[in-house]
Amino acid sequence: MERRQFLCTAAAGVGAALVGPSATWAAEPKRERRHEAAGMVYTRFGRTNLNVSRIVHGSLHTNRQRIPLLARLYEGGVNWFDTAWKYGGGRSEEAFGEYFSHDGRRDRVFISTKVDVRPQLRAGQGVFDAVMKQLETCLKRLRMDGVDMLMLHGCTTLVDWIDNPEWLRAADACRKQGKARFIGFSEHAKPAECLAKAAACGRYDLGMVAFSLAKATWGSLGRADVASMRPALDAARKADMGVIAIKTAVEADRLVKDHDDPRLHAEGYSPQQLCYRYILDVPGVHAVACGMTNMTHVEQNLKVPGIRLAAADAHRLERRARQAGLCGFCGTCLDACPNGIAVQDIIRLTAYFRNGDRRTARAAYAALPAPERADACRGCGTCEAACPGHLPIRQRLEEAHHALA
Amino acid sequence: MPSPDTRQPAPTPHTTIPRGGSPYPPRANARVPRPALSGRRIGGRCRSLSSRARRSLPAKGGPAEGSRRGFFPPVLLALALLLAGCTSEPGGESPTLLPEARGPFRRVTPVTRYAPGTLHEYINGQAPYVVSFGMQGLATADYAKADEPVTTVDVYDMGSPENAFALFRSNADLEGSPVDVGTEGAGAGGRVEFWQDRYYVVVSNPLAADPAIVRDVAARLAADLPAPGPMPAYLGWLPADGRVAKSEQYLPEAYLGYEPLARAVTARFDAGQGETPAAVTLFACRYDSADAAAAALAEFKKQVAAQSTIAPLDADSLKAIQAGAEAPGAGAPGATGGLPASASGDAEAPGAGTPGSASASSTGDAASQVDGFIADKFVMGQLVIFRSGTFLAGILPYSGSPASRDLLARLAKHVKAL
Repeated sequence: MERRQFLCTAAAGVGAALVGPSATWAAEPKRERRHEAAGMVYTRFGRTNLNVSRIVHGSLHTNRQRIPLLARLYEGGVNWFDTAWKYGGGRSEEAFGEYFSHDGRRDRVFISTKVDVRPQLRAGQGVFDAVMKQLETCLKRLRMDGVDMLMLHGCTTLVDWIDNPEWLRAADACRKQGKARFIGFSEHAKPAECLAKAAACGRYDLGMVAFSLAKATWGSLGRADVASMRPALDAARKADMGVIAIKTAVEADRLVKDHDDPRLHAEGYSPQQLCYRYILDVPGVHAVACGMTNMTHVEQNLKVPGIRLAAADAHRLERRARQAGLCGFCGTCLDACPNGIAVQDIIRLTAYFRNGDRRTARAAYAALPAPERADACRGCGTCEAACPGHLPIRQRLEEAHHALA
Repeated sequence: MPSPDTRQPAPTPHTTIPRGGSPYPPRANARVPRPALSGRRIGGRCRSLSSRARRSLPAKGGPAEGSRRGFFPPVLLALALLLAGCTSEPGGESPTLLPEARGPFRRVTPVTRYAPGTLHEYINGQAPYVVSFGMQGLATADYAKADEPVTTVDVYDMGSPENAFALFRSNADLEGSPVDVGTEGAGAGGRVEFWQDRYYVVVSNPLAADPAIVRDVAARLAADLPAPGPMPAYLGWLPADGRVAKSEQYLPEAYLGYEPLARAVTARFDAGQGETPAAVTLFACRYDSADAAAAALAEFKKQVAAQSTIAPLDADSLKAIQAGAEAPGAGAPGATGGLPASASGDAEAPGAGTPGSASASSTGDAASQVDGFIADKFVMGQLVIFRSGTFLAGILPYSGSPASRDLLARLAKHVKAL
C-alpha cells in the first residue's frame, strides 16, 4: 500500500503528543498504571482511572497463530488488549490466555472482554444467566480470575438494551464477584445514541463506539460524524466515562484514492494511521481500537500516537472525507424524504449490485413497493439538503434505478 | 479436486497486503452457481434495512414502474445498458439447502443471502477474515419446530472443500468439543458448526431448551449436502506420523502474524516422551517458486531480526535437516508425502522441476545449501525455519533434544519429497 505524508510530523517525544480528554482535568484522581513504554502515549480512561494506551488491540482476528502480534504490541507499549466471548468462536480469548498467563504479563496490562446476549435480550429472557455463564467461559479461556472491563457486546440493534435491568443486574453481580472491575458496552452503528443513553444511565464506566472520519461504518444505521457525536461525547465526558472508538479506519483507503492534493503525495503515514490520529484528536475520545492481522499493521499503528496532525491538515482530511462521497447509511435521507422513498435501502442495494450480487439486488429492489422505489422520486432535493455528507443522492437514485430495475 | 493454489488463497507472500479490505484480487470463479442460495436478498434478518423496507418484504414486487419525469436521460440510459450488458447471472441452481421445511422444522424467515462484498452486513468486522478463506456466498434462514425458539442456519459456500476445512478448523474447537456431524463438526450448548464438501455451516440457537435440537437441524442439513470427500490435499505437506489428531490448520495469510509466511499448513506433533511441551508445531508454507520461497524467507528473517535475536542454523539442527534431505526416498519419484491421489496430478504441485529442489537433489549438495535460521527468543519458543524448494518449513518450539531433531529431520525429508 502506498504510504502517504500528510504534512504531519512525528512527535519528538511522548509528552508532546499527550493530548486528549484527560488534559481537561485539573485535579484528577491517581491513575492506575500498568506496563508503559517510550513512544506510546497514555491517558486517563475516564472514571476507571486506568492509565491506558491510546492504541488498543482489537482482537477480532487474533488466535494462537497470531500471538507474536500480541507480543510486539506489548513491547511497543500497548497496555490494553480487548477481546470478546464471540471473537473467533473463543479462539481470541484462548490466545490471550496463552500469552498473558506467562511471565506475569496479566498483571501488567488491562484486559477487556464482551458478552454477547443479543438473542436473550431480543427474546426478553435468560439475560442474567447467559451473562454469568458466558463470563465464566471467558475467564476459563483467558486463564484469569477476572477482567478489568466487561462490555455488553453490540447494543446497536436496540439502544434500549443499554439499560436492560437484567444485564445491569448481571454486570453488578460480576463486579461484586470480582470478575469484572468496570462495566461498559460496545456498539457498531449508533454511537451517539448509545453513548448518550449510557451516560444518562449512569451505570457505565466506558463505551466502545463505532466512530470514523469516513462515517462509513459497516452496516451503519447511525450518525457517526464528528458534529453529530459532539453532544454524546460531551455527555460522556460529564459522566466521566471512558470512550474508545472502533471501526475508525473503515474506508480509509478511499479517503485518499484518486486525490490530486500534492500535499498528500509525499511519503509518510498511511490513510489508516491518519484516520486513527484524527479520531484520537476529537475531544472526548480516549483511545482507538485497531484490528491488526500482521506485523505491518502493528508497526504502523504503534506510531499513531506520535503523529501530530496540524489543524490545517485535519481540515484537509475532513474535506477529503466529504469529497470521497462515502455514504454512512445514517438514514438521514430516509427520515427527510417527504415522499417515503426507501433511499437508504436503494443505495445499499446499489452497493450489492456493484459487489457482484446483481440478481439478488434486483430482486430486492423489485420487492420494494412501487412508491418507495427510486423512480418515484420527485427530485425535490430534501434528502440532499439533509445529508450530512452532502452526497448527490438524486443522481445516485437515478443510477440505482437504471441498474436495478 | 482443484489444487489448493488455484483458488487464489493468498497474495504473493512478499507483496504488500492492502489494508482495509480483502487482500485478494477479484476471483475469477466468484460467480459459480450456489446451490443453497435461493430466496430473496432482503429479509427480517438484514439489520441494515429500514423498518419501512422490512414491512414491505412479504409484498411481491412487480416489474418496475414506468419512469417519472426527470429520469432516463440519455447518458444514464447508456450507463444502464452498459451495466446490463455486463450482467452474467449464474444459472443451473441446484436444489436449495434451505428449503421451506426440513423434517419437523419449518423455515420461518426468508432466505437471506450475502456475497463477499456484503457479508459485513451480517457478521460485521468478522467478514474480511471469512472472505480471506475464499468465501463465495452465505445463505441464512431461521427454522423452528412448533413453539421452540428459532434456530438460525448459516450456510457458507466456501467454493471448495479446502476452503471450508480451513475456515472450520480456524474457528471450531474441534479438539475440545467435537460433534458427530458433517465431515467434521464441533460445538457446545446451542451452537454447532461443521464442514462438508464446499460448505461451512453454523447452526445456532442460544435459547434452545434442549441443545439436541441444534444438532438435529445440523444433521438433517448435512444429509442434504454432497457426501464428504477426502481431506484437503494440502494436509500432505506435513508428515502423517506423530500428528496430534485434528490439530491441522491452514492459514491463507500471515501465519504467526508475519506476511511472508502465507499458505501455511500447521499441525501439532507429539514431541516425544518426557519432552516439554508435550506437543510442538510443525508448519509448511508453499510458494509458487523456489525464488519466491527464498524471498519470503529473507523477508521473514528481516522482520524477526527486528524483534528477536536470530542465528544461523546450529550444527545439530543443520545436521537434522541435512539428514532428512539426504535420506533415502527423499525426492524420489512418486513420493507425494501422503497427498491424496486426486492431488497427485496437480499441475502446480512443486516437484523435481522446481529450481531449488532440482539443483539440490541432482548435485547432491543439498546439505551445504540449507537456507534457514533459528530465532532463539521467539515469543512462542525457539523457532527453526528452513527452505526446501518451494516450501518454507519449520518447527516451533524447537528444544534441540534428540526427539525434536528427529522431528525436524522427518519434516525435512517429507517436504523434500513433495
